[in-house]
Amino acid sequence: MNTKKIISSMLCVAIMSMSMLISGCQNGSDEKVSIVIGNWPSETDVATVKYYNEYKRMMNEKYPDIEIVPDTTQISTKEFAAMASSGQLPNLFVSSYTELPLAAQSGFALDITDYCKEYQYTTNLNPLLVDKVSYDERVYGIPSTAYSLGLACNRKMFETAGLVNEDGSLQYPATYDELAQTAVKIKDATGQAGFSFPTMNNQGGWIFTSLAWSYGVDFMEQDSDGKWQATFDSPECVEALQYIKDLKWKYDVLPDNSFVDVTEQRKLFASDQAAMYLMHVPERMLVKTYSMDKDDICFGRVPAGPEGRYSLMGGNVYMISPNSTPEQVDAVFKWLDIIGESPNVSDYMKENLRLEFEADNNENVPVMKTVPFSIWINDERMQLENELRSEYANVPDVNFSDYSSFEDVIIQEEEPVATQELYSILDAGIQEVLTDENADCEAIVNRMANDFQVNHLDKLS
Amino acid sequence: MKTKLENQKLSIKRLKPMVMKNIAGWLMLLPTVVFAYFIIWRPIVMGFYQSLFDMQGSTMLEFVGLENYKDIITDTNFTKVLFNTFKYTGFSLLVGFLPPVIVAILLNEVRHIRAFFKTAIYLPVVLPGIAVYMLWYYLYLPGESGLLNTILASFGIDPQPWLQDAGTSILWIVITMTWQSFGGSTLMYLAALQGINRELYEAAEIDGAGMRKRLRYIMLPEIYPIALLLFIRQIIGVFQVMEQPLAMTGGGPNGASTSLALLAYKYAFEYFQFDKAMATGVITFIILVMITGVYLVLEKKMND
Repeated sequence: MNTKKIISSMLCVAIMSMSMLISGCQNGSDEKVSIVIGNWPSETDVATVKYYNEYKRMMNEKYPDIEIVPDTTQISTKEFAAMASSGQLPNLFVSSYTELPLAAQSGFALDITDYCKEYQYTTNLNPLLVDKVSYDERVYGIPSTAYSLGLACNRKMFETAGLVNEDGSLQYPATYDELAQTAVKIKDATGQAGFSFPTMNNQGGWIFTSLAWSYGVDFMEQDSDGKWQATFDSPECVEALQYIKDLKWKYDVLPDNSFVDVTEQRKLFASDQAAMYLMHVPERMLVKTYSMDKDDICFGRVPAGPEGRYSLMGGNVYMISPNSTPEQVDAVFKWLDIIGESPNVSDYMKENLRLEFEADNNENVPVMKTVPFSIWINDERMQLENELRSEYANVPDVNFSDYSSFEDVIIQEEEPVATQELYSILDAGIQEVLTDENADCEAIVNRMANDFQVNHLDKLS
Repeated sequence: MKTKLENQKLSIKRLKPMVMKNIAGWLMLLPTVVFAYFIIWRPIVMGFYQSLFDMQGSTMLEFVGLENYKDIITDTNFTKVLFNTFKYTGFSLLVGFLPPVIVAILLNEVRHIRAFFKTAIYLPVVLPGIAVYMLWYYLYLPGESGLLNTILASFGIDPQPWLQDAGTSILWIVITMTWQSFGGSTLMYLAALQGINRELYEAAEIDGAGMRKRLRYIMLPEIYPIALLLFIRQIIGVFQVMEQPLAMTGGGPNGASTSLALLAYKYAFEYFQFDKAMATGVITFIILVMITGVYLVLEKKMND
């Protein structure tokens, strides 16, 4: 009797599963393509979700055979690998440029070289960004934002320290030595940290490479056998690390807490507890998350070291899940066209870009009149963005003019191999000099270079 | 071949009546077996298996034998990480093993509002882990703005670096772990103490035994089995510490609080090297099996 019951239950389950499968097949026969769009704004971000819903409405209007499925998961670096491994990545997702090589190498992002050519993305992309979205000469991403590193400065704190010119521009430090002096003045005047430097989550290493380049540091080179050698065991690197150490122990201009990541830096900056940090514009979170007054956010060029002003590119990049079908990839490109993240100008795009700028204005997020460079360089697209920026710019030019002048700034690509591993090692070195007054910079640099060589470069296949 | 097939048929034939006879029991067992397979056994076996492959993301590319293990063990920081992990375990046994015993004994002696004390002690256990780590992170903030430093300042003591001192960061993390979890162990000891036959206490009192003798001859022998169990559980649990250093120090300063589990996490989620993450997990597993084995053998010898 029991056996009969079990068999009946199993049959029921089988029949139900079959019906579900059949109904699934029927949906498929409608030929409606469904795409999951990641990083969809959450309901709490009212302004952004409003224009995203408008994107969706327009998409339905123009392409009724494409279904947009919003996914509000904000994919941070640390969730990325887990989601990718379990096949849960949305069809379209956003990550940072620095993650792209790792994602491509791990098979977590789709090779979209052919699609980019077909949809005219490659020819219209700013040449400065081609390498940023490529891995092994194949394209894996579409730029969403792209900005070079600059020096974020808190106007209110500069004013308290008397570091504002008559025309309203800030007295930006031109060199790293000047930065230390400026930070001392601000600390003396406000009692708060003059500068903050990240030390965690590989962000310290990321920023340090830029500073070190300006001191003349070469981190690695490939020899004739194709093997990589760590080359930063040099007096220049010791000097750059000593500079970080001096900021803490000689000038005493850093926050008390030495465990600082970018989130913490933003908090400190927005709450007038640190006057400067190295970051790329527009830093919308300062306003959206920490309610900072947009007029207090100013940006200067990255300071110069003995070898010049070296900056690196930051920002976000769209990637497509490797599980996507060709129909889904096609739908994703149509979506990007609609939302304005493409070179292909249409009426929909014009309307949507306008919606975005309006939303930024309503939320008091800074909109700069000019940016150092555009992602898309075809005339029609550039003209559209420039017109909208002129119309919606809401911050005084003087707040960003030094950054936008871009004068004598050298943009350098991130280091080519084992980049995150290098950043992690540099993070540890930075933490050591900031927590140990007696740390020996030369020994630390020596150890870091050796660790990088033995633990990572020697193990590259 | 024919013989083998016949043997198989025979085994199934013998097995069938046994299963059918207790079908209800087997069915009740099924969810546990399925659960254990997917949640415990399969990950362990897959972890071993995948650690022997070169992986691209989560895809296995080629069999490389023990190459991943070699890479990890020859890493210049591996010894430091291993030592850190033992340091966590050592500190946790020093700092965290006795307080639950002491508190349980005290609670056992309390006559009034015992329920309140039990709830108060257990409260940290039900708090979300990340909230506890963040709470202690802010308590430990260096400089004059840190909460603990503010208290120290009122006694005229200079601000301490707390988590940012490479020499002691693990100790401060262990104190956080102990605060968070000792309520659970306390209740287990208390349950053991309250299970003691009251007549034993009464007899001891009649014989003139004070608190110290009752403790030595009644309470401690009664809680010994549970203490043994919790001792091993603590070693196993703390050896796998990850969330606390991840949230409170990121493994720093300069790797001073990086544990084996955090190293595995970094391999997997920072460098996307799942093969090495698996191998690190297997190394942790093997060490734990060895420690537990040695401990059990020693314990058996002592009892014999």
